[in-house]
Amino acid sequence: MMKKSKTSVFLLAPFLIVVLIYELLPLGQLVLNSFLQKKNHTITLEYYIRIFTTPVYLQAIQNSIRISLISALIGLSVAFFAGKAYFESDGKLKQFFYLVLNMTSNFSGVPLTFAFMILMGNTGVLTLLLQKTGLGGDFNLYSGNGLLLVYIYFQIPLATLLLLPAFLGLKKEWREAATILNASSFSYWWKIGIPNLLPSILGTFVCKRLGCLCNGVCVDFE
Amino acid sequence: MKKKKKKASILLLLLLCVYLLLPFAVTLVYSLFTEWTGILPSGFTLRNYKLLFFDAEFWMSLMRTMLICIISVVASITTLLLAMYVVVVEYPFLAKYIQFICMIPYALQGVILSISIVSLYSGTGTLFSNRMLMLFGAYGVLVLPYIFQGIRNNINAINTQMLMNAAKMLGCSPLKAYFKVVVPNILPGIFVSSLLSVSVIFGDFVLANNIAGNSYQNIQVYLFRKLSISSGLSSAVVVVIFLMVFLMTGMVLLLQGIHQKKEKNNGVYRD
Repeated sequence: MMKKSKTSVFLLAPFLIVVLIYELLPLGQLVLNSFLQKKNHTITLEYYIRIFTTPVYLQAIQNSIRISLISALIGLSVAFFAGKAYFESDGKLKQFFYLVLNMTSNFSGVPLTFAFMILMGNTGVLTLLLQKTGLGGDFNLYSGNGLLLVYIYFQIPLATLLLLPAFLGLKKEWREAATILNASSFSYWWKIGIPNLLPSILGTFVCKRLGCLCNGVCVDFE
Repeated sequence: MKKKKKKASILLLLLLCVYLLLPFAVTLVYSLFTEWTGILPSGFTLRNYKLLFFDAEFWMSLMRTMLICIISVVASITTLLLAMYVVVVEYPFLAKYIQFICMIPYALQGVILSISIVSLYSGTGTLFSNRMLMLFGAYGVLVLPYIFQGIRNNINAINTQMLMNAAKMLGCSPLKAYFKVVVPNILPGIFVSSLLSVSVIFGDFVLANNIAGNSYQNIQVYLFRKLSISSGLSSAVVVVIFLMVFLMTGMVLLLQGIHQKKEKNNGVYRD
């Protein structure tokens, strides 16, 4: 028995060491530092008070929450209809769509931002096209709304991928029963489909908002 | 009625495909022409790609990215496989703690992870203040959620306890049974999740820029520096990165498909 637990410790050690050095210690230090007054080493809530009373920080937090809320809501709505359409269709297109979802969800950061700059930046292809045809408004990619657009773009594939498994949980019999009871397609989704998907939708929503709050690349640029 | 609905679904999927692929399509066209100020681009050229492929710096960045992918992913897999032995053989209750630790990086993402690592170790003068080592460690942690899920799903799928018992009955020690029977059986499945991790590292800019910056320039940092110099060249880099991610994703899906078919034929089910 003694020997057994020795092997266990020995085998667990590399994982624990790596995680401790590169995940737990840095995070712990980050949390600790946020409560520590640097000059005289006392515990303080000063930094937190400052964040919530300084207009610049407050504005930054508000902006983050606004963008993450709106983009997650829009991303999820599109993901819902995309998921529905995915299970109603079949064949090559379905496979291709799945491939596109996977590819674009892995693709973010600098390349994505650059692609959007080419498409809709100040001299972007779409911007010029809209100006020439006289349809162009005064859309500016390097603004809050521009940032929102990029976020919505990269929310859609991820949200759809996360929602697809939930659609598998909707049983065919429910749909049949609803049809027999004379329910319209809308009332089926409103009263049966969506309530059953809700746990996954909310999970995806929280996940997406987290991702949004923590993702910094696109913000750096804009 | 039903046909109409199907058509609407197909239309929606098609529209979404176009929408999602539009930025890349435009970048591809942009990289192949000298001028695009009218409705149609003009002046077809391969100059951007020629410049890119003759740039030694580009190849160095690509090699660095590959190296960092391989080392971090292999390190992550090795440490987790060792740790999972303890879960499988001795203390199953540890699984949920390991899972929790592995899921933290998923919620944190780049900025917080990189800042906390840099602020803890930089300027300490120890081995840990080496920027390269920091980056390797950070990537190793970043891919933990993907690797963990891959390993756990595969361990659940192959009926590990039965295999372990069978091997033990034939006289294997638990250690030998795990590494000679269980691990070889789950390796193909882990390969899929490691490809996924590679594409995550490939797509990362925040960690590389915050931690290493110019001292260990990967492909995304290279792209970032080229952005201010030439948009044509940058678009070519974006196309190359996209094609590599495309290839990796395609391979993951293909392998997953094969894996699932095999499972169906063998009558093994996932829980």
